[in-house]
Amino acid sequence: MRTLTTLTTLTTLTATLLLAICLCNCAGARHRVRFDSMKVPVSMSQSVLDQHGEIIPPERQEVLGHFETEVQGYGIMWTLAPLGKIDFSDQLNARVAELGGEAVVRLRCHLERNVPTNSFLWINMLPIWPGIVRVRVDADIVRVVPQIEGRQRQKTQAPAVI
Amino acid sequence: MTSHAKWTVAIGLWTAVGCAPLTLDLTALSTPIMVSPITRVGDTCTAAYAGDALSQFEGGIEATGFSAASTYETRIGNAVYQVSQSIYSHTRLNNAAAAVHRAIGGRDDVVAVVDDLEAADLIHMSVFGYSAEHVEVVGQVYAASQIRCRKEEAK
Repeated sequence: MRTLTTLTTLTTLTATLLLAICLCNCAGARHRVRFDSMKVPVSMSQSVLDQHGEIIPPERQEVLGHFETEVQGYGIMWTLAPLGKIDFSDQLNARVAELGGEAVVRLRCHLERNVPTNSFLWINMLPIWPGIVRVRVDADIVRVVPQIEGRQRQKTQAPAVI
Repeated sequence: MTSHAKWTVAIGLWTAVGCAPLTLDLTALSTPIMVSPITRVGDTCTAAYAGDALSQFEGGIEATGFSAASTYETRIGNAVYQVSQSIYSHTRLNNAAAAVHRAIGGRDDVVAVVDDLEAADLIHMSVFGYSAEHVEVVGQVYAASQIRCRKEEAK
């Protein structure tokens, strides 16, 4: 009899604990966005550094092309266990090689609208139900213009003084 | 309308009104903000940094709220700032830029290195329809003179 009471108590406690964990958590997915094996520098701003640590401003950059792609990241266990990685390196390296670029600048990270699987009522409570995060990045691929050429470019781009 | 069609429409509407898309946009800044292991143009080695970082930064853009009334907020450090209330507008806010800009402190010989760029799309399970999306950057600022090649690669 005593064993049965203990078992019931334990079961109730476990169920309460699981329910509490479930209700306090979020469904969906959480991912690190990576560029781990990039072969050229990637900057989220408009500039990069040269080998001497000097800033290469936009005037000394020639835009060779644009990069844009979207990836979906998955996760289970209420975002606690991401499945796979979101790494844009391979696609971005391929595009840089195709254009002969030396750096990637103005990289922006977009989070797309909620995906349907995240909004399934109640089914989200199942730890194996997959959550999704949809990430899109876009950036400019550039080559560095030599200093003199860059100055000339700056002069031609400068507005006329009235 | 059949029961199946009603469910399809209901679920379609429910999912369509989630938080609007977010964009983390730091393109207005002139200091390099690096997300790659190689930091300088022309380098073939991944960067290592000598000494301690000059400062740290943490910022991002976040959208939280119920489907029907999303509230856009941005977090800089632990502070939360409400930015606007809208649901269908595409948000394009540079609020993380403030955190990075503050960490840079007006210096032009530094580089901001992003350690963690995180994207999350969440639905709170106790309150269905309550969404929380964010894109965040966490990182450190180093002087350009602190950049070195990793030893194992430089050999």
